Amino acid sequence: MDQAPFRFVDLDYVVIREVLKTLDPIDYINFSKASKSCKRLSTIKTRYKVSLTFTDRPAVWIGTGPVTYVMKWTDNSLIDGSRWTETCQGKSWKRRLTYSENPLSSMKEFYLYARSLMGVELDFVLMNMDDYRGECREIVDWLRSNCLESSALSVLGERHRREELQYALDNLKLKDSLKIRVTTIEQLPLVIPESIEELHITYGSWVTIEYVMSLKMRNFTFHGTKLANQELNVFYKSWIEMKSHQSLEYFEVNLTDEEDFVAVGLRGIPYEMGPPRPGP
Amino acid sequence: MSSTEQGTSSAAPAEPTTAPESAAAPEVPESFYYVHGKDKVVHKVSAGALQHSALIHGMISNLGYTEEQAKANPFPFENIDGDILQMVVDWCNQHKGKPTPPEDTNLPKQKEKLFDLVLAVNYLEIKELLTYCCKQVAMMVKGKSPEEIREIWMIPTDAEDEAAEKEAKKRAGKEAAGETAAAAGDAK
Repeated sequence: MDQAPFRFVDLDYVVIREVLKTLDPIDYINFSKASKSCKRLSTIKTRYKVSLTFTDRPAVWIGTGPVTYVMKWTDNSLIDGSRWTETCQGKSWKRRLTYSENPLSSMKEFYLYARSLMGVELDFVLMNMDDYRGECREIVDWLRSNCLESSALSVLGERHRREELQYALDNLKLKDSLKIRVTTIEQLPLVIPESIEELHITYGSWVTIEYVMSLKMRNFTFHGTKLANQELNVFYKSWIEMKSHQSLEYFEVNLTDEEDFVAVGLRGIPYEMGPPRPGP
Repeated sequence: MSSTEQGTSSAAPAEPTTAPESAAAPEVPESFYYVHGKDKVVHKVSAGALQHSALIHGMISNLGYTEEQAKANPFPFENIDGDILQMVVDWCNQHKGKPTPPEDTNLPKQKEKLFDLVLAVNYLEIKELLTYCCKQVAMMVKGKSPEEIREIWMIPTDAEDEAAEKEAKKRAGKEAAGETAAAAGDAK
């Protein structure tokens, strides 16, 4: 390594600020942790969109245009410090894996620190309830007390109690989108926050026509429902005649009886057939 | 007061910032200025190249040297090492009248040179080159931990900062006491 001196703090304040503006968010956070004087210098409040993923390796995703920096935590010390980059369609995800005895606590701590240092806006939350059985309420409570609202939430998991999932829906403030990919033991309807624009339910065996009629979002997608073609026909007519769903712009649903759909589901409804598309 | 060979009354450099070469455009004779650093080696630089430096550009505008006067009185930059000034002059010449590219890979990678270059470029107010230099400085700590950053950028630890602060206070106290004693002596 080049041992020549480089006393960064001796540079002109204007230069220091210019360099700090150039640092990527993770390097900027690490700089601020180098000493108390570095923390005092770290006053640049660049706005970043942040996502939080509560999975087996909890992570904070910080986006800056085409590059997203992903900090993940693991309890496997053998892979501590792993880094890799994924690229797709001009975008890249730079990932770093850090060992922690308690990955969830480390992730929360990192998020709170980043939030105090920079202008972060929570964009997306993903929670895999399978990885946090018995701890989901605690996560929801933490999110509720530390994040005002998120643009989008995705929840996934298998065979969870309905009330656990409903607790998340009741307590997290969402602006735009909710995607539920959770099977519940009770298979009972969920109360969906009215603030959202888009709802996606993957395991919708509990979705009834009354439930569909009660929703007010712009965009619904339901899969795994048992809705009959006759019921869909009632819904379509109500929508077309503007008796309900006046804000609805997009509707997608699985068909339980494809053969009869045109004859029954679209009875009395003008339609055009588009090209077939793959399932979910 | 002319700085160009056409003898215009303006001291502004003769060249526009964009590339002047055009088949139809008449050839404009270039005016030159002279700069030297700590080593006193004089560098001849065109007015067009010097436009990159807001400081020198301002000096030229304010002084309104003729070419003869400029030759006799090179701009002295005693705080800049000769090799660093050479680097700056080379960069200004290479980027004379050209749009600057988003990246510049020709900057020095050695820490000491880069540090001195940043100081010089900031002093000379060469905005584009400063942006490149700052990117290069940022690259030094890419992917590093707080401890590594502290080491690379020679950032004092909290304990060192506290010790330095104590020492500074102590020194200030001593100086104040010395001044008080001297003032008391004067009063007698």
